[in-house]
Amino acid sequence: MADSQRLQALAALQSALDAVSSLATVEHGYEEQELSTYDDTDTPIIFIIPTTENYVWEKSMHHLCSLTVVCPMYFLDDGTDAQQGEALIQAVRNKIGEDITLGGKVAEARVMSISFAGTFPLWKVVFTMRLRYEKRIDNV
Amino acid sequence: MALTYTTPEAVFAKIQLALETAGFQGVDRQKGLKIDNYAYPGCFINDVMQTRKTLLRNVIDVTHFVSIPVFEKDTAGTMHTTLNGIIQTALAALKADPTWGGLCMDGTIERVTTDEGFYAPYCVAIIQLKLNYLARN
Repeated sequence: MADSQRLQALAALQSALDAVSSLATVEHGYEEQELSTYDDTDTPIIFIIPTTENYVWEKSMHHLCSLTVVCPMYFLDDGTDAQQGEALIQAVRNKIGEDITLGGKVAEARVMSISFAGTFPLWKVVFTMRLRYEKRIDNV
Repeated sequence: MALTYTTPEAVFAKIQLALETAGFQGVDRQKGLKIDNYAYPGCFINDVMQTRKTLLRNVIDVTHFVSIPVFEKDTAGTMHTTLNGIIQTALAALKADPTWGGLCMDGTIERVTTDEGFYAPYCVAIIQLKLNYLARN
């Protein structure tokens, strides 16, 4: 089974996040990279980490897949401007929301949950996203 | 957003200035406790230990432990009163601004220990200070 549709969906998500001007770095991988390999100028940084995938429905040669993607985002803030985190969350949500098909690459992209997990001065916000895309199975 | 990065030297200079302003005569740094060589009331600022946590490649969260012996010569036979006086003076200076002019995220007094007559006629207290600041790599 080819993974091309999954990779296309993830690439589409990366392109969407690349277009968020307030994000300095967008990294796609299968695990979170060590933060000590990045400079402060690389922040805000967001990682795209696919986790679980399951079928919403399936037919003989055609599946609708649901892929859960965890996106931890890190940014430096001195704590005097509490709006920066809110602005970043809003920018990411707006970008996903303005075209939930991610340019026609997925059936649906959604931000499912957002949680704050960081502490001063390096704040962490974790987006949990869901990508739904149709997958054809050529060699049944 | 703007964050302040500093060095141990910059923070120590602030501590030294605060203690000198408070009236400590023999302020010195990184020296052993040979109090008879110095004017009094005096103190030393000793760098004990740092723990450095790398947040990003060039952003380090530093927790710095500093030991400050303060001393005075008791000429009136009221050693405890004299000692309490210099402890209060030193603590007031050290607690006045926990950010040390905006350089530190926090600065707390961890412990004050006293010599209880060991150095008589001098009286000595050791103040342990914990500083937390951001440094560049």
